[in-house]
Amino acid sequence: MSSCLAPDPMSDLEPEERDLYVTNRDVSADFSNYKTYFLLDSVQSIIREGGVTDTVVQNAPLILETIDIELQNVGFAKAATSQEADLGIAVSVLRFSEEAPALFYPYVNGAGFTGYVSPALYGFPDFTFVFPTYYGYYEIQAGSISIDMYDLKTARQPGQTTINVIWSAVLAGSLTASQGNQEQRIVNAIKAAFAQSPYLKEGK
Amino acid sequence: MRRKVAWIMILVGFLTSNNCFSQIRLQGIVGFDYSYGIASGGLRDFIPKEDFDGVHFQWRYFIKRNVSLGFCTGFNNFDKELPRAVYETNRGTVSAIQTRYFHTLPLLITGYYYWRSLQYVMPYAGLAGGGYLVRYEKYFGAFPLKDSGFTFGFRPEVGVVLPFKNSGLGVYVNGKFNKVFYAHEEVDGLRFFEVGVGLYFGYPVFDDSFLREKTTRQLIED
Repeated sequence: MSSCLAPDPMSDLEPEERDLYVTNRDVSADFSNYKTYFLLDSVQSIIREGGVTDTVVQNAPLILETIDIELQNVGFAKAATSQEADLGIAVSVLRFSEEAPALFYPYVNGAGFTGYVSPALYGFPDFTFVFPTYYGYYEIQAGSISIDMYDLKTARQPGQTTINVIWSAVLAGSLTASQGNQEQRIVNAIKAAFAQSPYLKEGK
Repeated sequence: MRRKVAWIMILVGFLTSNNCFSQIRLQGIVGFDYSYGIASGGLRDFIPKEDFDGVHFQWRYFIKRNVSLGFCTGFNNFDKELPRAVYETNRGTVSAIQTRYFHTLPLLITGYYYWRSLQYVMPYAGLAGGGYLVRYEKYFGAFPLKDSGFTFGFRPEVGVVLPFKNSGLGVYVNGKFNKVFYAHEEVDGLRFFEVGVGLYFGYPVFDDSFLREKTTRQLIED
């Protein structure tokens, strides 16, 4: 007979079983229009003011290498420079926690937070990043990996001042200081994010 | 071992003896039952398995030999952990292990009609109605989405009461169908069947004639 108590996933599930892999896409983006990408060669650390100050990212080379492989697996080609790329890719580690169906980027990109990537790193110094307002992430754990995909191709067109974030993944919990096989947990999370976004392969 | 056998013999003798209580007429019964549940409709979509557990307590008061009114409460629980899967939601595409939980706690007024007196096997049918406390929980990993409420529902029931001989004890088996006016996400209407088996304890109609006798005797003595 089952207990009359509600289940408690915090104690019933192993740490990696609690991980959430959340992806959001710009529904107006046609991914067949994008062929090449430029991946920054460092992992950003996004910190809330007054929060942790540790910005050392464990396993950064593994994170970047796995994302690089997955981008090519779905059919994108690596560009030598950001000027030649249709897409810019940024990888961050989120050093704060949120438990909300958070539309969090509009503020993580602004006051109260530091560490978010600058558009200047892709050659757009006066631009700002824009996230579709319906992006949601359920929860952010300190140690979540975030991957953002920027539409550089459209940003280069005349009159543009913003860079649209057409795909975003938050792998909640994947870098939580932890038990178990951390490397495998990272690889599994990144692969899952691409696997659950089959539209990335369109037109390739 | 001997002691166990002795206790079983005493119990069997108690339950089968005609002399323990002679021809008692019960005023009410208090019962406890276990219910095996079968989810239906939206509840089955939410918890994709058929069975769940429930325990109920009930009290029935006989206003006639073949009619009782009473009260029933208890709980029914459903829960299920689903393997990691991808869900399309209005807040993005989520890969997660989901844990789903659904809990009901009925607080019902009952009415039953019996086809024979309580000294014999008695088929019955009845209706219970009242409030159901319901709790819906869905976890993405450890992230909870919850809903709860107190809502109206009703429960037709058929069953059989099987009294042990003249003991005031007995068992009952029943089949129930719960219809609860609750809807939330996958649970677009709460309906579930139950098959229950329970044990009851009866208490007799209070007979105060011996008190009156005593009072008369005391009056004479005085």
